[in-house]
Amino acid sequence: MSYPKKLKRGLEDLSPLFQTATRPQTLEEARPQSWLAPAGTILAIGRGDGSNFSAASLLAGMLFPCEKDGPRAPLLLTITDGVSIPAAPQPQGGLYRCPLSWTAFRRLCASTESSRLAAPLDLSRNVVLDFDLRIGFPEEALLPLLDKCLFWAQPAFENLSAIYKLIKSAAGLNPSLECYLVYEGAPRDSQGEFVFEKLAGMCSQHLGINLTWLGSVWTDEKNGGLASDLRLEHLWLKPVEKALAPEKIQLLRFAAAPPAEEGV
Amino acid sequence: MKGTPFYQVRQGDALSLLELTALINQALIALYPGTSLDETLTPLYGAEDSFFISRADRTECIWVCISPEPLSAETLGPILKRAAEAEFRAREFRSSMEQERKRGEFLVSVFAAQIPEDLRKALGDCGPHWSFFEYMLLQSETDEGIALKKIEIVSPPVPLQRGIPIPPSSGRDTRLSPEELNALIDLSLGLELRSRGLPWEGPVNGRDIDA
Repeated sequence: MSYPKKLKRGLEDLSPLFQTATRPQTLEEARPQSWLAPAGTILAIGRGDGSNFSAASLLAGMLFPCEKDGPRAPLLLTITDGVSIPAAPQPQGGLYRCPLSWTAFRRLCASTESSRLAAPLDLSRNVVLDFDLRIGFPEEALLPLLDKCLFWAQPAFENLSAIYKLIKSAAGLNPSLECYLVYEGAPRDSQGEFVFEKLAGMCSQHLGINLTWLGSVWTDEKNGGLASDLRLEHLWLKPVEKALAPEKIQLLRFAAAPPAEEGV
Repeated sequence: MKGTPFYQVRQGDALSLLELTALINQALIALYPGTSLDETLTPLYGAEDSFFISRADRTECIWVCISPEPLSAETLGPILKRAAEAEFRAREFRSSMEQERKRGEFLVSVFAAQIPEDLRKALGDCGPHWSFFEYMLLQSETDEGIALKKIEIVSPPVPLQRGIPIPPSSGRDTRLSPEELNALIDLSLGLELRSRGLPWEGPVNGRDIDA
């Protein structure tokens, strides 16, 4: 007796960890389909020492492809020192980009500017925060705002320790935060999977938090470009639960209608 | 002792009991200024390079580890594992204290011949009940032997306050527990070994203290 329609499931259906190696794709090919990303999402990318900044920046532009290049293109806030007043975001590479310091970020979220508060709330624009894990940041101000956090992991103790500590902070400040891991390095010897398995085990055992694996990004020595085995669609498997705290509303208001020159 | 060169403890060098006592006492005096505890310390449990001591009134339990090698991710891993085991025993110790209506406390002191700069930040995350010391042994003028002359408190940077309870195994404290730091070091060590093509055999002791 045969069962031609019997559903076949294997380990590869449970996790990308068990999937057989496929042809590496360019980073751009990892772009998810446009129907996946909901609007009004605040997502952070935490990078480490010496991480491939251009890759992280490029990745930020791929997370919300449906709005890219359009009037509702996502706002990429890059946290950097010395920018105390955020200027009007500038369109570049399909995104609106705006550098600002953590101090400016805190002021932005705590702003009570009456003209902005009076404006109707527009949740159509997504926000990506790109920050360096090494620079001291206001966890208590940042973490409660986030819907998702993507960690850019490298094979270094400092970086892995910083990632774990941030996830541990999130366990207390924002237990519903979804955490994802991208590994910077070639997939040989399954180093990325090794890092993910160990970190995910720690997060599960000590913090009760699930870490989701998105894949690896590396420099393709043959072509000189970036290659990846990313599965960014995993970012949007779970719907974003929007709890609109006042600070989060302020950030989304800024994203929807940023000031021209006056700052916050 | 002026102008005498540093004496770097070599791997395999053993400290005499006298030197060890001096080392620990200096550390405790540094932690508790104005206090001399040399007559109150009682060895409770001995091992190759670690042992328990307690105050005479048995209200405090201190786990001491001496590392003659420079501290590194590789040498710290086994130390953390043994400390975790010691903390497990200290919880039992605390239970017995509570039965006697006394307050049991647990401190960890790690002495190392050298603590690299890049490791110091990580050590600061171990929690307030951990203290790390970098020690140097100076050669005496008469070459009759080595004498302990310098101890630097690496972490914590300020003297500990007395009365630190044994930390709970879980909670919202974002500092890394010894178990978490240990696991991160295991992970880093595993990556290092794998990058060299060496097999990774998992944690040194191969068992979970709290299991």
